[in-house]
Amino acid sequence: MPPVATSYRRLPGRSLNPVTASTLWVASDHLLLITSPGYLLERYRRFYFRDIQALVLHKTRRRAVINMVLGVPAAMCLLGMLAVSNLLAWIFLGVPAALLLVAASINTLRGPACITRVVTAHSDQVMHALSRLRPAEKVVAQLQPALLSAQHDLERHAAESGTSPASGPLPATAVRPLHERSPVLHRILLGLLALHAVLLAVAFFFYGEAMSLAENLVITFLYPLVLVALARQRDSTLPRPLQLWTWALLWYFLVAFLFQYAYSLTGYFRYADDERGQWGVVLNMMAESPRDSVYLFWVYAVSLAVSVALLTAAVLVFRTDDQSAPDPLGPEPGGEPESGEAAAGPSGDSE
Amino acid sequence: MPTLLTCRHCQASLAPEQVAGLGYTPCASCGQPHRVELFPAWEHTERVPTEPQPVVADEAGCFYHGGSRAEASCSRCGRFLCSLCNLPLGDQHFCAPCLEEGRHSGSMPEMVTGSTRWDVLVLLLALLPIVLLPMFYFSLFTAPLALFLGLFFWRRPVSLVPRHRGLFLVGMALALAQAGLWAAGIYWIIYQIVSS
Repeated sequence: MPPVATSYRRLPGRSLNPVTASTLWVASDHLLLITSPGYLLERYRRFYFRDIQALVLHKTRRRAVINMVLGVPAAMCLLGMLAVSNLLAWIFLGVPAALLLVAASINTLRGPACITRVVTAHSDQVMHALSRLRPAEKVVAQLQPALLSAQHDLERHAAESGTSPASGPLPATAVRPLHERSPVLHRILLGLLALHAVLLAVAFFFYGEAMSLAENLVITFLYPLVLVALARQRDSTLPRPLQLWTWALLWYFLVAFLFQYAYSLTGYFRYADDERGQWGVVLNMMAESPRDSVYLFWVYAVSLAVSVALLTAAVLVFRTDDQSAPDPLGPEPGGEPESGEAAAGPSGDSE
Repeated sequence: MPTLLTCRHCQASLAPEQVAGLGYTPCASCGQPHRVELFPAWEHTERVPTEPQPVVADEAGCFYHGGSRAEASCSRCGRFLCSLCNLPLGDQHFCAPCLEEGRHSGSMPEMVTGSTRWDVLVLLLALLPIVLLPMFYFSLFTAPLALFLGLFFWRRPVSLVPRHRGLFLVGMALALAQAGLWAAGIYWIIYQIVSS
């Protein structure tokens, strides 16, 4: 059993991991990280103030991702509630929707997410307790004076030897090399997305097996193309807005797939008595128009709106990129004109 | 040689000296914002113990190496230690035997690396038969066990850090209630048998 001699004070922050809890405590000369696997055990790890070299905070998009993960099923449940009129079904869909929305609200209120690292000469520890920016900033502000005070003799030594953290020799910055990539694939994606949007719009007026087949054919090309585009744009010179656009496209497809999948599952119950069996279910569902069901109507309407928004964003990105791309034939300011390859900077793209 | 810091997002190396203290700056490779706070220890990664110096004139010598000059005394046994024998732990200095003894006996809080949350276990033992209602008969065994563990570990520290004994109390109260119900049930059965 641990003897209690050192006085510890709890620092802000806590990880809400259902499997492993993690909290952070501070003593007079060290930081104590407690991880509780299964909540029955406690593992202690100490970071002495004299040994801590750096505190690093990385902003992440985890809050948005968690909200998306919670929000999509919640939205599906809410849309499902619109489609049914049974009280039992309302309760069955409403309770999970409410719970998911509460969880999403808590996640939103906890503030932006981050990763906090404590770096020593021999370790680089991620503090899971400090996974939100607000408590992480507070802890860094609280620790800074204590760390500087514990290392004041090192600071003096550094000053005497003429080196300081701000003026020391730079380590080799091994930034990964960026590859020159052409945005042709993104343009193809843009074209297919435009075609998909047209098909979605037409579906409101004319729908049948042929339309459904055309839509599925476009989607069959779109899904793998997005993945290939994501793989190609990694570590490439493609502009960041374009890279973000591809990620947004992937998320849109994933969410749309989830909604369509949820609806297709209901088809097996709605057309269960079709004599043609599974083939009959598929044919019936292919023949369904967005005007046949509230759920489908909203799925199509929102899909169309998102598609149009993504198309507009992509067109704007391409236009901005075309305007900002340096003219390879034009004179370079303050020097001789360079070759087209050399003139394309790390943020430019070679078309 | 300073430690190489890498971006958590793209694993590209950061240039910590360039961005330290500047607030949030984007990673040169992926653009993900990060904030780096460097401390003087950043420049002092090599902590090689210095060579023990020989004793000169009437200087104190190391307990283990009589010919070497003492640099510190053990915080536990008080023996003088040279730079080779001195094992610093935070602000304190220890000799190897004291550190080993402290690690084995558990008497040094600085050396404790883990513990069991007996209070959580007591609460779980008391709660599980209630939560898993069909398994309520388990409480015939778990309730006395929870009470025993609660009483046995009551006086021991719950954790290395200050924690209240609320979970102990709740767990023991639940276990007591379950044990009371069992006792009443058994009494009622015996009473029925005897009276018939």
